[in-house]
Amino acid sequence: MHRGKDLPDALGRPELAAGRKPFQSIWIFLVADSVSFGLLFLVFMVERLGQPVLFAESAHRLNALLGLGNTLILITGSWLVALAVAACRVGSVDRTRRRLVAAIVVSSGFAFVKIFEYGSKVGDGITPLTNDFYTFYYALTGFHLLHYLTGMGALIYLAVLTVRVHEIEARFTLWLESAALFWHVVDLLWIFLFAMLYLLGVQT
Amino acid sequence: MKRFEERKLGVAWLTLVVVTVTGFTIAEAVFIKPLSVALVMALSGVKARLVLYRFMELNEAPTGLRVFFNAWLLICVLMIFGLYSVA
Amino acid sequence: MKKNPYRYYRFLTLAGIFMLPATIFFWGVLGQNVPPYSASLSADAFAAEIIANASSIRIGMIGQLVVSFAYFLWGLGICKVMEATEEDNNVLSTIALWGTGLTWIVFALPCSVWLTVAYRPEVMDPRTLQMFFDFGWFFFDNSFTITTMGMVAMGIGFLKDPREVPLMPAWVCWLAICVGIGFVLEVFMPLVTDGAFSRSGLINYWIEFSAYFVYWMATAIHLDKAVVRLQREHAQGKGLA
Repeated sequence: MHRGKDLPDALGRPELAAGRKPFQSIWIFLVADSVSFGLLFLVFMVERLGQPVLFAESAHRLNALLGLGNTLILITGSWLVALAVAACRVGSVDRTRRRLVAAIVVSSGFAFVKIFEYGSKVGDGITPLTNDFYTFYYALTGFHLLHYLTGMGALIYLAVLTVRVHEIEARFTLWLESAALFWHVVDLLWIFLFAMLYLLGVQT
Repeated sequence: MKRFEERKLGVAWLTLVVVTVTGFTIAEAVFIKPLSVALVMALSGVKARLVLYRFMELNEAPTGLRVFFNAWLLICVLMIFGLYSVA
Repeated sequence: MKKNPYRYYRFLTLAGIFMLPATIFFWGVLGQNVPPYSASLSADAFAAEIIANASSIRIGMIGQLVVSFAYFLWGLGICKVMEATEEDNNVLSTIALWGTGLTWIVFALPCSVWLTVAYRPEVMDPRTLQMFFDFGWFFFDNSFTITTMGMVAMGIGFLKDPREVPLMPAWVCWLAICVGIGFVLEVFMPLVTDGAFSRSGLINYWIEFSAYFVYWMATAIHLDKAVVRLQREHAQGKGLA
């Protein structure tokens, strides 16, 4: 709760010394990003109104098990990153690094599954040009994948930083907390993408 | 204190896994539509809320953010289910 | 100390504020881009539209070509205000300048192309008109990375402002980053002629462009405020240094 209380360098950040939670300005990006994805969901569902059978049949051809696997991977990655933040707040560099590395290793599975999934779809001749559903499928998952790659980049960068630091600094904590917030949103958006793209069509 | 925090994260993770698998099973096995879709979307909302409150600590965030994200997830759930049902 | 290091700055920021409504008027309204012609129109139907609106499109594109220089001036304004916040070096402000400055080409070249299409459409083959019009759109939409580059550099640069109250509010910075990255969905535009991802569709036209205009307006207004503040602080003798 009172994070930063026992950190020597909480000095210089009055809100840390006071035990108050500093406002992470990345929240503003996350709000804008969530609005963007919300609009994309809306456009997808509105387009679906016009051709529900095509959308349902196309969704049925997606491998929902791969979607499920990726959901579990992202949830686990999110949890490990949250644990890394918890370790960081009590000042344990080693534990922060171990948990970050674990999160990176687990989350890298998402990329492998995605490559396999795109590969098998393209192998079956299914591309963004196939129909409206697949244009959305590639665009939405591709845009999400871009977020994923950005988040992975941030996690890897921070994991490398932990090798150089011997003591957790307030600035590092802020960076890690910001990256973690972004990473959780990658998870959050996938929860909805999984339900909307894969699960609406499994029974068709 | 620390132990407690970490255990809370672990419980959240386990709940997320259980809810995810449950949602997937419902989507595969419950053949009454649109009930199955309503359940799937409701469970997605539960998952989103767990991520927001347990992992992102939304409860400690300013009121504006809490209102925004709760409204966002409610709108997403209702919008997807609503537009699915009328299609 | 220089007498007035911020002289001419407001001229630069006002250039951006001036160009925004001019662009909506010339490119948007007169240029028949609100709403734009659908890429799914047949060549003949498209040519008929162009012939019917040729004068208006021509005036719009001529006007847009005239005012587009202001985007470069505005980019210089962004760069100069960023320099007032930079502690280490001027890499980010330089990227922002080039990103915004090169976006001038994104205004100038497609508008020349569309002007050409509207120049003598009645004697041209409809399919030639359509092809050249398409070319204008691909250049306009799919060269987005240069604009994104400038927007993201601006966002990061102003976020690193060490001032207690930053010159540019954090929300504008994050908005610039978000809108800039959002342009990546334009990569799906050339793949379709219809639907949300087409060049006249809900996502790749209405949402992307509205978001861009909101970014532009928000940045332009706050940039101007930042210049006023820099000048006031200088007059009171308490700059960053």
